[in-house]
Amino acid sequence: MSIVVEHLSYIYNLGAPQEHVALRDVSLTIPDGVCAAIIGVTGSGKSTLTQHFNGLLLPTSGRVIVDGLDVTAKTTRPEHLLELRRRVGLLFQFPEAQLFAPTIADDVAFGPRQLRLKDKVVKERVRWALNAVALPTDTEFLARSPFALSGGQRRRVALAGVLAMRPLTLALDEPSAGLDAEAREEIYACLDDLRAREGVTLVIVSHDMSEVAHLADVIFALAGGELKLSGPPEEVFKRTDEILACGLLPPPLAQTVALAREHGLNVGAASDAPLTPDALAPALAASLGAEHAEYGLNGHRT
Amino acid sequence: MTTQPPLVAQSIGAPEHAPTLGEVALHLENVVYRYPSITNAPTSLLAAKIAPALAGVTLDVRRGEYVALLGHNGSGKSTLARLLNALLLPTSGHVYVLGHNTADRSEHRAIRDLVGMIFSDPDNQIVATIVEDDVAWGLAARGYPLAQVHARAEAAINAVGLSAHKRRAPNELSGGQRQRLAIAGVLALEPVCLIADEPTALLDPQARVEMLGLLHTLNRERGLTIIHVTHLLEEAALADRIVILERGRIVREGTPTEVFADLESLRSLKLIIPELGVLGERLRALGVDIPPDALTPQLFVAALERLEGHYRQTQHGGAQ
Ligand SMILES: Nc1ncnc2c1ncn2[C@@H]1O[C@H](COP(=O)(O)OP(=O)(O)OP(=O)(O)O)[C@@H](O)[C@H]1O
Ligand SMILES: Nc1ncnc2c1ncn2[C@@H]1O[C@H](COP(=O)(O)OP(=O)(O)OP(=O)(O)O)[C@@H](O)[C@H]1O
Ligand SMILES: [Mg+2]
Ligand SMILES: [Mg+2]
Repeated sequence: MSIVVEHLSYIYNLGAPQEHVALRDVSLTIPDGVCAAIIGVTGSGKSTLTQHFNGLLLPTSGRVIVDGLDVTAKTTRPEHLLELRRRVGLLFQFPEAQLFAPTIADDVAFGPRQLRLKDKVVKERVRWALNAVALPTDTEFLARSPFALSGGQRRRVALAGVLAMRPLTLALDEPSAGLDAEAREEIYACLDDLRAREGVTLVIVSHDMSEVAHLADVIFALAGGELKLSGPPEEVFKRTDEILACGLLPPPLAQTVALAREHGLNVGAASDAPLTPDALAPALAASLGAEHAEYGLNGHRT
Repeated sequence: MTTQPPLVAQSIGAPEHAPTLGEVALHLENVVYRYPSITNAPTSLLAAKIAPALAGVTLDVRRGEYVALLGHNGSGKSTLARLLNALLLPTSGHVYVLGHNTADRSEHRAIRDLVGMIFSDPDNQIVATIVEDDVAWGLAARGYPLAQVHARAEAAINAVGLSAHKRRAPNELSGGQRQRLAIAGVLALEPVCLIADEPTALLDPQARVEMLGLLHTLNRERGLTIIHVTHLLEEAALADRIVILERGRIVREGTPTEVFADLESLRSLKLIIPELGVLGERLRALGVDIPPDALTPQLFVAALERLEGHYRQTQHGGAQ
């Protein structure tokens, strides 16, 4: 489902002394089936923008059109908003705000029950979603309170609740913050699978530039509520000056390559291929050892 | 009354530069913690079967030490953190903070002043509408004389680099600045130890670097003992000691160089291996000797430069 944002501005506490412009004239398009990443320093407006995608916030001015549904204040009716929330699953930045049911099972089942699915289907969905976030599905665990969990486990339950709705668009606000490696990998695999099999559209807010470089087809960088940069990761992360001007840093691999060049080290020719350890290692090894190849990398004559 | 913990007790993994460190600040002795009524199931039989959040942790942290605490989700990091400032009391075993036993309720006030805590989301800790007042609040609530409240608040605000913002409203600050504000609130109470539970989880990359810098400055320059809970090996790389939990037990302890030497075992503990760690692994497989703890761009490039110099020398030597 595509997302189109046209001249969107959002002002918190409009008219009050604490009035705050959080988004200013933002326009962007996320085509159907694409994974978009939203990046920016804290307070740049990422969460504010994301909350427009399922109508949690309504534009102060401008338009947001999700899968043809208009999220503009004037045209929004309750049944319209309900349909929007069915289509777009939103993971909040603070998962505590999303958890409410007495048990983990009820919490994850809440969405599917709203869809009036049969009990059996709801149960399947709950199991599937908990598996997708690498959490157990035994009776003991299902009966626990979602608040009797560690921080990372709570985020995973909240994400399971969103996934269980099987929406065609997923907007995830910092889904991997505080997660361990196992949870991250399971979730990436699940998202990959949803994209490949169902053409799900993904919007991810993240501070982890390596993750962004990895997952996203397109990046949107916000600064001070304005859209400053957009494009595919390989392209965006090459524009170092603009990235820095947004208060951000390129991913560590890109920083390393840039720093190595600054220090006059030969790190291989610049290429358009994404920077990965697998691609970079042979190039680095060759450039360190190539001139002295006859001595081998250990300094011994071969 | 307080019982002194054995001050001679020293864990195996104490950092090499132990001479610069002071007495034992935090002492945990075979600590078990089990959360009460964990399940909504009707029988409490189920609850008894659930493994405890901490299953026998023994640990000493010396004054001035910087300890990074890592482990998978649910491994017990936050539980351990909460036991250290008496927010939780051990089910069995003992926790001492500079000789104060946390089981002794009359010591809780002293303990909470000695051990300050910050979390990922600073907003829960911010109480006032002006930065200065927020920092002063904890002191005022403890009944310090006004002059001292102001002086200490001012010093704490300077220490975290917020002096330019002291008259602003906390909600006008960036996430990183709000996190600094939370630290200032803790520093004002002049603690011995700061426990930072995933302080950078919600920060952007630059704010993350700055926060890490601040924690290290407070450690090096003020001798503040730091327990830094994190999922990121690159943040742990600068600690004196790394402690890794798995299912409520300490399974690995040592300096970053020692711990990072075996990245494969860290993978099996569900820790995130940073891309530079993976790059280092690949290079080592190709015969290039990058040290496993070169996990930041700066450290990595420094290692590359050393190697380059080494290869150049080898070449000159060979050519003669
Ligand atoms: N409910 C609110 N009332 C007033 N101002 C708000 C509110 N929520 C956010 N803001 C302000 O709007 C701006 C944008 O906030 P937003 O939460 O969208 O930023 P963000 O990019 O998601 O930041 P972070 O990385 O910290 O999550 C910030 O300056 C913030 O202080
Ligand atoms: N309030 C609570 N009530 C009951 N059980 C809890 C509670 N908080 C945590 N637990 C359980 O105790 C164990 C340890 O949790 P803890 O929060 O200490 O983990 P953690 O290492 O901080 O994890 P994370 O990386 O997710 O923050 C987990 O199994 C968790 O489910
Ligand atoms: Mg946000
Ligand atoms: Mg935790």
